[in-house]
Amino acid sequence: MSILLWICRQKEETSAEERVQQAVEAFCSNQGKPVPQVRLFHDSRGKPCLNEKNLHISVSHSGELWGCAVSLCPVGLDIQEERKQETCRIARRFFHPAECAYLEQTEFRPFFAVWAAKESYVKYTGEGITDGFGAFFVADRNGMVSGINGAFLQAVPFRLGYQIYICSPMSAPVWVQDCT
Amino acid sequence: MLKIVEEIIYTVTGKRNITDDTDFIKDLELNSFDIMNIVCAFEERFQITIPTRDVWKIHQVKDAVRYLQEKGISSSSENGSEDR
Repeated sequence: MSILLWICRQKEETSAEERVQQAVEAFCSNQGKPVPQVRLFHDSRGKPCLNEKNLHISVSHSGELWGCAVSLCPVGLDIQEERKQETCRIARRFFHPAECAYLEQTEFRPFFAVWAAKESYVKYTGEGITDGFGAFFVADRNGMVSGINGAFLQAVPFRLGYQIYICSPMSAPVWVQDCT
Repeated sequence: MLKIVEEIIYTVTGKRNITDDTDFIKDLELNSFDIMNIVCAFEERFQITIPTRDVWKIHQVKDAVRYLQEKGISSSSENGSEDR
């Protein structure tokens, strides 16, 4: 299994559906599969889905970047621009105590990595951010974890000033198509 | 109340030109982090707690204003009816 991370500029004059179609085309072409004409909809919990049941997507945007992860298995993607924010306040409000402890020992430098990893997980499960967002942890005193509840978390290096995380049911290579 | 909400949104996101009908996601293009950041700012400013399940019911600025008013926040009073 492999995962495509398709990234363009957030300010592109294309709709989300057009961008998803382009991402799906790139994925299917790479996999040697016929390219379907996809229709984008959202399930009851707001998770973006395709009419093609064998394809899974997750979309995210932050700052200048918009991204779509495409895979044959469920996947969660989060992109976070690192910017000056009240990270301590947000961590205390939303993060697990283990994550807060990790951030305190690292002067909050990995804050956006923790947020992106957490959000990629809840997008993978389809739960989205709920009151249970602080009930699980993606980092502890040893650093970022590589998996949670059987799902695999991986950071995807792309551009300085951004944290990108993908969550998937197993370790899978991620290839990035940079359309920025 | 709109002015206070506008000020908080600007402080957190840098975005201006807010009206009652401004949609947080469609018009301001905020993502989940931006929204939770605004939630923290509201909670700190008004000394209230906003459960995450309530956040996703708030789509437009007027929903936020109405929600805060239902929590007992008015333009003349910045303390909510709930203690943190």
